[in-house]
Amino acid sequence: MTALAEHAAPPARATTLRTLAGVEARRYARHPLFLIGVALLIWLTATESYGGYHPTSGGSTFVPAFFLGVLGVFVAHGLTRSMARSTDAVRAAPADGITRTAALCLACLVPGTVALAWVTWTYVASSLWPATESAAISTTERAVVFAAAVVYAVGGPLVGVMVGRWTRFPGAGLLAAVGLVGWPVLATVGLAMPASRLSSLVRLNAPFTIWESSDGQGEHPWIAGGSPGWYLAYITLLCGLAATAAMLHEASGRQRSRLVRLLVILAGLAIASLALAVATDPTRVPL
Amino acid sequence: MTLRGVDWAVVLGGSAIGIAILAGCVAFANDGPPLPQVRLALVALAAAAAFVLDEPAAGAVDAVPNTRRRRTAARTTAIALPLAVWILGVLALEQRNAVTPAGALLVEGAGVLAVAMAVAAVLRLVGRAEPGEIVASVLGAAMLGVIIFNPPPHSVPLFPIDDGWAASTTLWTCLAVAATILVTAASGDPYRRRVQADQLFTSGRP
Repeated sequence: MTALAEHAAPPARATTLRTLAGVEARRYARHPLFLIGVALLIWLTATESYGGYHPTSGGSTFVPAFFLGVLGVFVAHGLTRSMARSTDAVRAAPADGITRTAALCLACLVPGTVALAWVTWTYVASSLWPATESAAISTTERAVVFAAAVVYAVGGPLVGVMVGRWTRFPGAGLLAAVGLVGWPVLATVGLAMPASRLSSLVRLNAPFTIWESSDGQGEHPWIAGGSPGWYLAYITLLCGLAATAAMLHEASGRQRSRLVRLLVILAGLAIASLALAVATDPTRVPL
Repeated sequence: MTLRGVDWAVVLGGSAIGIAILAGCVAFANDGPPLPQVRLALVALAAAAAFVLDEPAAGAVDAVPNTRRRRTAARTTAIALPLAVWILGVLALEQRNAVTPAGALLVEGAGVLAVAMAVAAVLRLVGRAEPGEIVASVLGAAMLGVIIFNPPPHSVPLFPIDDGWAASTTLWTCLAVAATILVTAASGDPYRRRVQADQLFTSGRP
């Protein structure tokens, strides 16, 4: 009887979240598009096909950003929509919508883990095949630029969860992916502008950026101005915004007002981080 | 008749996004057409084309005396909208900047839209009544990947930037023709194919 009563007790919220997150993480890890992305990431890393960038330069972060981040938008959006289709059945489960969305957000750590492995490998590679050392970028700044790859890999899927939660129209996942690619492409205009805080703002407001560029083909490369550290903080806060916005969809009452408050705080911090990233010296330093 | 069955919200939405991106490209085409951004518009238009063959009521529609091939022919006219957006966009780009390789871009656009429709037709043939979402996602992801990474072989680029336009045009012409044949071949009614197979089987019996 006692054992029955113990079993009948509702599971703690943390336990439910952990269990659901495990289920969602397994679903994420088995998704064909994620597996294709990981395979292509491994292949490009093995063949060092980084679009002209040195394997150990920060420019190579666009590889995990695309194969884990952009493809992750489709994966996470698909997983979120598939959960929405079975809402009636899921409603009977001992977990509210926020917990289920939080579990999906935690599942986005799966591509983050792969990206972390990629960053670690790149560091191993940089010790084997040393990159051109330059005073233009310190070791810490280089590490921060690479660490952004993990945030790109988590951020894309979080946007996918958010879009999947808030939209119902067909093709919404693709639209989000096009937006995530189009925004940084537009922001590269900042690299073509003369070095200034405005050009830094145009470049760094996007959720992906390149620090290394040149004035043309064959020209000497330089490191763009701005603070990599504050930029990392900015995109991490954008991830927090996406996760909070996703959970807001299912929230009501006190939970909703708490999430709205959190959203406002995160938005404020994100703007402040971007301002600090832009405020740093915009001068371009030759590599 | 079956044009009413087309999800116009998606086709119009995709075309509207295409128009918005192309308009931006035309505005910033002074120093040459911004080809990667132009191709982003093509991704949206291809997504719109992928939804043209979606038949949410396929179960009911298959029973009416109107063949799937005829329904496909009617629905194909809906692709005229994203195609018209692409044509107008490319012509506007050429008007703005004469350097724009308009002919090659027009063939490329027609080829991409035809491929989107062909993949949708094949998925519909294997029993997926609404292939639009999956085709738009997979084709869109593939296009974004090709636009960003420009994979080999570079002698025949899918989306050229500087050179390789002639080879690309030949490739897209072949793909468009193959896709058109595939749409026609994959639009036969599954019921009719079964009946024909049964007739062949029974007539072959001694």
